Amino acid sequence: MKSSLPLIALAALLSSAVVGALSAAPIDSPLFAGNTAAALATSKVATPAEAAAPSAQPVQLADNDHDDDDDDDGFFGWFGHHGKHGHHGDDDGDHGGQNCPAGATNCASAPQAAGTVAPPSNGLFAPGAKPQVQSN
Amino acid sequence: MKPLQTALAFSTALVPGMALATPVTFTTQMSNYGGDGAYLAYYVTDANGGYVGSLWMAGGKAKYYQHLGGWYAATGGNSAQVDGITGASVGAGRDLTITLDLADTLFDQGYVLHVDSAVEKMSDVPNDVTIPLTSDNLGKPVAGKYFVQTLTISK
Repeated sequence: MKSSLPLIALAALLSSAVVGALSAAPIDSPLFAGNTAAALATSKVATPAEAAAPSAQPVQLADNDHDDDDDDDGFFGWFGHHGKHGHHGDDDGDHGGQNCPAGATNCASAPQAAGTVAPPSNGLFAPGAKPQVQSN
Repeated sequence: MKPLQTALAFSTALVPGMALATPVTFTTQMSNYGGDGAYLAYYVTDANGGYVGSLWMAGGKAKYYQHLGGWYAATGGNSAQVDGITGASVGAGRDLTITLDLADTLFDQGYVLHVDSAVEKMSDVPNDVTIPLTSDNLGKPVAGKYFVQTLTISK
């Protein structure tokens, strides 16, 4: 029984030393929801000099999903597919046909605006006539 | 004398062709649905329901055309179908007036005009309005189901 006492004392001493060292170590960078795994993988204990120096990395206050927050989410967001906001920039530039559904024909190219080319030759239009449009 | 005959023959050949087309005006009054601009697809089917062609597209981003269900099913979303007949989307409560030179044979031959509509964060409405292209329907407002309040065709 007496022979186990030194082992227990040694274990208690080691564990208290490790816990004390960890709690005293400064945290060098905040963790974000978007990159928690990467931050954990690369986290290290900083020296006092490193902790005092200003960080070269900009502080990131928002998510890290590389969303440019323009209207790319568009209808998908409006109709609950995967978007998260809903403003609709009315007829600004297309973004290269992103979000084209599978099997779509010519989805990546925006159509030519009225007045820039003749209407399609589908038998409905008089040849050469350009449409007139007005919105109030 | 020969130049005159040539000119007469040429003008005679042209006149019937020109008489086959008439300006037709489509006036669409949008309802006050309280949302952003609506995408609208105007297209024509024949007596058998087959797609004939498009007349107008309100809304210029092809990636959203999948929400215009009837038009998309008929065309596969091919934006070339609406080259030269595409304009801006139409806001709630606004009205859109389009005048097109259309073939006279489009009327009283069993053709039907369809208008599909879609609005962000709201709904897709295939066949928001359908109107048989007949002389009887000219000048009469036809009620839409949801985003379109009325559509009137006139010559």
